[in-house]
Amino acid sequence: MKQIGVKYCGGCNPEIHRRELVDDLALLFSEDWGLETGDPSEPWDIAILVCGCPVACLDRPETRALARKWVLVSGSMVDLHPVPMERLAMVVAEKLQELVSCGKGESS
Amino acid sequence: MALKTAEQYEESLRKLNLKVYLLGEVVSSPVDHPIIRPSMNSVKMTYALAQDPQHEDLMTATSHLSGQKVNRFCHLHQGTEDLVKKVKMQRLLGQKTGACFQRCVGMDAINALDSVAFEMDEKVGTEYHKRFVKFLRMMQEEDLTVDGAMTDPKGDRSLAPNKQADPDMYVRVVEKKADGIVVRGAKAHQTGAINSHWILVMPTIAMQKDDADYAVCFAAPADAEGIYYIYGRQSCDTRKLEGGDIDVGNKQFGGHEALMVFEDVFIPWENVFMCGEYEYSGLLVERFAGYHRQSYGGCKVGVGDVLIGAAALAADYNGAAKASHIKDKLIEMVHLNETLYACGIACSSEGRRTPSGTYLINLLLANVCKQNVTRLPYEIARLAEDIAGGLMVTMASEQDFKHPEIGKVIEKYFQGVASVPTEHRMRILRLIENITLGTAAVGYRTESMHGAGSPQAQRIMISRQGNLEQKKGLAKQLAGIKE
Repeated sequence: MKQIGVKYCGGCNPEIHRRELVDDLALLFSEDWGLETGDPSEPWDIAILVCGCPVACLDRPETRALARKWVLVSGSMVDLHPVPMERLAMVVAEKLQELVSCGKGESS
Repeated sequence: MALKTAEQYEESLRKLNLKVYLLGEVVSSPVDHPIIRPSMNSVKMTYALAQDPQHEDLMTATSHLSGQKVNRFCHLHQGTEDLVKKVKMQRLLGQKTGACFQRCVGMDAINALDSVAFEMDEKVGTEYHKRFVKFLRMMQEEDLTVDGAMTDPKGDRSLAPNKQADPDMYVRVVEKKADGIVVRGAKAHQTGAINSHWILVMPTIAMQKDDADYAVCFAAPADAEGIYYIYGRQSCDTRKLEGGDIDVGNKQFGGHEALMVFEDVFIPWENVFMCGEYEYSGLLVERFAGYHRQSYGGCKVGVGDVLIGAAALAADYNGAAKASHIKDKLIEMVHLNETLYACGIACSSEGRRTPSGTYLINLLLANVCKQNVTRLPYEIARLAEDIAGGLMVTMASEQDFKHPEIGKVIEKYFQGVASVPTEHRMRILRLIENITLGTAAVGYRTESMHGAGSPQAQRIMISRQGNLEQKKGLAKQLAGIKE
């Protein structure tokens, strides 16, 4: 099973339901994908940085070092681009699929 | 064990042998007492969220002593980022509990004491910092809740501690022994005292030479021989004894204060961090107060978030949400609340390093923060009451609502918008009542006024740090005044 890392910001004043987003993502994944929280023993290949608002305070170098490729969710933005709230999970899943299949597109 | 689970925290409290008086009786099991338990739940939340991946980035930190993950409440701020995260953590906890979660006083006390003990040792040659670090290691390893105890009863405010008619009006050293000291006195309105494992006692004012016996700082187990507590009453507190879950407003969470009495308590030297160095008492008070004034830019904002949400729901349930004046009042509440948050973030971002390595907030901005906190929550509460309407304080009881006959009458006449159950409307009005004039108002209103120092205390600090001479210079230069 391919493990995708999940790191949450602290959630002091989130504009999105972070846990619901991750739950929705899990439903969109194929069975051979799994989501993993905590700190990895080896850097993840791909991970999602789930920040509740555009400040994205967790987006720091030490966090980025935990995975090779990231999808950044910051409020209703994915990789700094606004996304309609109802499409948030879908867009993140598409980004992850891109990273898996192309091995490119590390977010800034 | 660097992080306790919420359950382990509760169990650890059960093992304490606290002597607590409440409503004229000794409480056999504080954790299980219906008046006290909601406040324990609030502290428990500080443990629960630290275990949650969704919140660990704010709730935990890496110890500069051990390199281990520790609860942020046991952490010394190692940079401005830590100071900012502290405020965000407090906002989060205010949102989750709608109440005072009590653990901040200990965090603010250790951060203040660390730098003061370090500087005291450098100047005076004492070894207080070494002792303190040993205490801090234990606090971090055991994930302890520590009550930072500062406020003395103070008696006649016009008199110095040594001039009081009763010398116990400030905590003092009554005996020095080879192996420790004996202390006597009391600390008033001690937030979270009954939910704490240890207490960290600090002087409450800048002492003078004649008050050297009162310049004392020490740590003690909360259940040490000779310490007992008299629980503070809160408005509407006995509603918690009625067994319902509507009229209490916030059934799960709350806060508490208590009078903490020291009846000749022995403190071994290893837990003494100041004893007679009166010149440093003022610095400790200033720094603790500064950190605690910063804290209010987080915790009160979180409770404010809940109150704004409740007011908006009350407007929805009343059918008034579309009225322009209601919308404007909600905007004003958000504006006021975020003003407090801005102050909390600002004094954190502008923090500085102290000689011990621990970061201190910008004291001027922290005092400005708290000065705003003495005012803005009152206005937010006023607006919430305005939006809620008079029913908030004239509504029938939960018992009447659940009565087989008159319950139907209440259901009918207290209905607002037809699609919203009357019970929902009652619940949200009781929550607003709880925060604005019930048990949680202790934390949201009067504590906002007097906690971490009354308004005048901040004005004195603002006066000292306002840099008026530099401002005069600016004006003279632009006005062409040459001297």
